[in-house]
Amino acid sequence: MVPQLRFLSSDTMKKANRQIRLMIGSNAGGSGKTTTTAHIACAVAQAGYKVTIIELDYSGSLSTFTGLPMHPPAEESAAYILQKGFKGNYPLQPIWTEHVPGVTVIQGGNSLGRSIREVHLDGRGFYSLRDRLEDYPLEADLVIFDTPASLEPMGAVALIASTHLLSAIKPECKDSEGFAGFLQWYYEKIEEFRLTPQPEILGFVPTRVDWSGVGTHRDLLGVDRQGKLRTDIDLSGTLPYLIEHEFNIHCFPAIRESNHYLKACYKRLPLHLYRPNCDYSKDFDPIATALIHLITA
Amino acid sequence: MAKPPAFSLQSSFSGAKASQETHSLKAQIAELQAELEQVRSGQTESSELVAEKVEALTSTLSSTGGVTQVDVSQIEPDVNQPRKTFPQQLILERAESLRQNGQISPVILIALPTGKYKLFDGELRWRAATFLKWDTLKAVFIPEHEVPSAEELFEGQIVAGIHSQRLHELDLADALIKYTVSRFPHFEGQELQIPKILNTAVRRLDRDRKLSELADVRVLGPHQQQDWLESAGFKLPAERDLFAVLLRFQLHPATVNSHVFSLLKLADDLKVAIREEGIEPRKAKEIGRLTFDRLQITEDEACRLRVDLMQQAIQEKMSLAAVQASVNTLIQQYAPNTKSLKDITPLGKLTQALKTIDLTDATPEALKELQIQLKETLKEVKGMLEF
Repeated sequence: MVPQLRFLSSDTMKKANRQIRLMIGSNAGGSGKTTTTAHIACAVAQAGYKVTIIELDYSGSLSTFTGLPMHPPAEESAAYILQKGFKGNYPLQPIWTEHVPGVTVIQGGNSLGRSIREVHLDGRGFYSLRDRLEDYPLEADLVIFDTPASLEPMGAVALIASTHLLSAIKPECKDSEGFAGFLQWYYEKIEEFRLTPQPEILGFVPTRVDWSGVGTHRDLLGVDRQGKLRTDIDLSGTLPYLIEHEFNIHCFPAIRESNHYLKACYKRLPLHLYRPNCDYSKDFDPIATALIHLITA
Repeated sequence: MAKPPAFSLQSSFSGAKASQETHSLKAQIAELQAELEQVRSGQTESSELVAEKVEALTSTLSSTGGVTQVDVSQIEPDVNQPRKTFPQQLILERAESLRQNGQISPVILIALPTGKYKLFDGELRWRAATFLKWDTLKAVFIPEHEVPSAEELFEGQIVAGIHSQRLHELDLADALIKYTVSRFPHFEGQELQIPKILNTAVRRLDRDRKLSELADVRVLGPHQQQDWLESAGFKLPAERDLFAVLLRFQLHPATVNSHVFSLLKLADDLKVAIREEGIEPRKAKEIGRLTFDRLQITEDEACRLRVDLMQQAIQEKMSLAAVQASVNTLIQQYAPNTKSLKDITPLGKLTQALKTIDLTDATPEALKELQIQLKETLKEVKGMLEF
């Protein structure tokens, strides 16, 4: 039996009414974007919805969770859909088929090298992904764009095609500063590309969090060693407080670091499928729920 | 070379903040420009259109007879309705508003077999109209075949009260308990336990990091809420039933725990003051700290102190901070050995709380949880002392 999100049973699954296209970005390397992409895709698919991941990252690291061979040739990758003359035959590859239906991937990898250069040559260059998805809609309820840490140019290409954004950041100095840069970039790009409707920021999520072991994580999140919000300090200097109050951007509950993820990578599976009863995979539920609400609204 | 400045979260985000503000201002300008355009292009036609619409609406209203003028003397309040807080000040304010602006929205009535009418919604307007010695009030009626059972009626009144935000927390607390007992009769006789049952369950969900789910479950449909309730891991059916009631009203159980049920612990004199004088719940809670045991005086004396301070707070329109300061002064005066809460560290507060905790009404589940937590904390304390 396909395992379900704990509080949505299949016979009460709401119908999808719109397609959500989510960009996962951060402006910081190693923050857990790809991990977050794979696990959100899995959680939403387990609730019965169709998900497509489009990897726009030259590094091809999504293979860690899919097991697909890295760096496919151009015609089997995202580079293909960005080329002129694309006629809607997306190189979709189904993944995790023994465990959960409905998840497909369009891989990135080094074929994107040419695409990165060509973005600047074509008249509609940055809009190419958006144009393709408008001209040839994907069947998915949720499309996730896995983007590289450096935002230009593929981050911009994804932003223009997105309805929503989620930023995954480690609660540390470098990532926090990276996130500040990400926000600034977001506001500037909306203006530069005159994006309407504007893609909305779904929120940000602290990732790879180890509150029992790492003092900085505790300090920036304002929590104790058990991950509970502290009531004896001024929280206004913490990251979630700052972002929620100054920018009105939602902070999702943290995704905790765990060795289970490393082991899951050996099996090329997300945690939900590698260890179905693992508590850590539930960390993604709030994001999955928020997305499902949007999809079924 | 001078030392580089240390990392500061605020400074890191100053650039992003500036971009956001610029972005937001530009969006506002675009909106205003669009509105201005609309007004410019529609100006010559709009006033005629509006006049036409008003005429059409007026004739529809008078022909369908949806709203009627009813004799104020024929209207009775519903003594079972959840809203019981009608401070005199509020009645005067509403009366003044009625006098100046007239009655804007009709009250909702249910026809009684006696020929009189019972209020479903609008008791404040009715009280104000009575005060003004008005003859009639505008009213609409719930049709006879749609008049609900007592439980459904009460449920509907709670929903109406929550959505219109007119239901005072104390009334809501009483109403929720009454509704819970009527919906789940096994709670009968256990009314006083209900806030404790909620508190235990909320604390446990918090510990298991499930509280964040409630924000979403709160607004899901009944079947989905039911699914969540079944898999949420409640220790007692009573906990599950209580959560079912709160979620049915789209209330967040943690909020009800902190801000609604907590008012039930207040002394009766404070509850009366909240109801009749309109004192705010936070101030009432502060004054509620003046208990006979803390001040080491009799209950009568403590009650008098509370009532006096309450009157003062209302008459002088004291701020919350001023009320807090007065309470602390009184505590120092009567029980000089009591440390003010500000002076005690979190650890000191915990030690004090452990000394004074009353376990007589605790459920076995709550006691077991406490035992587990105490063992863990004791282990940590021993570890710290060994260094």
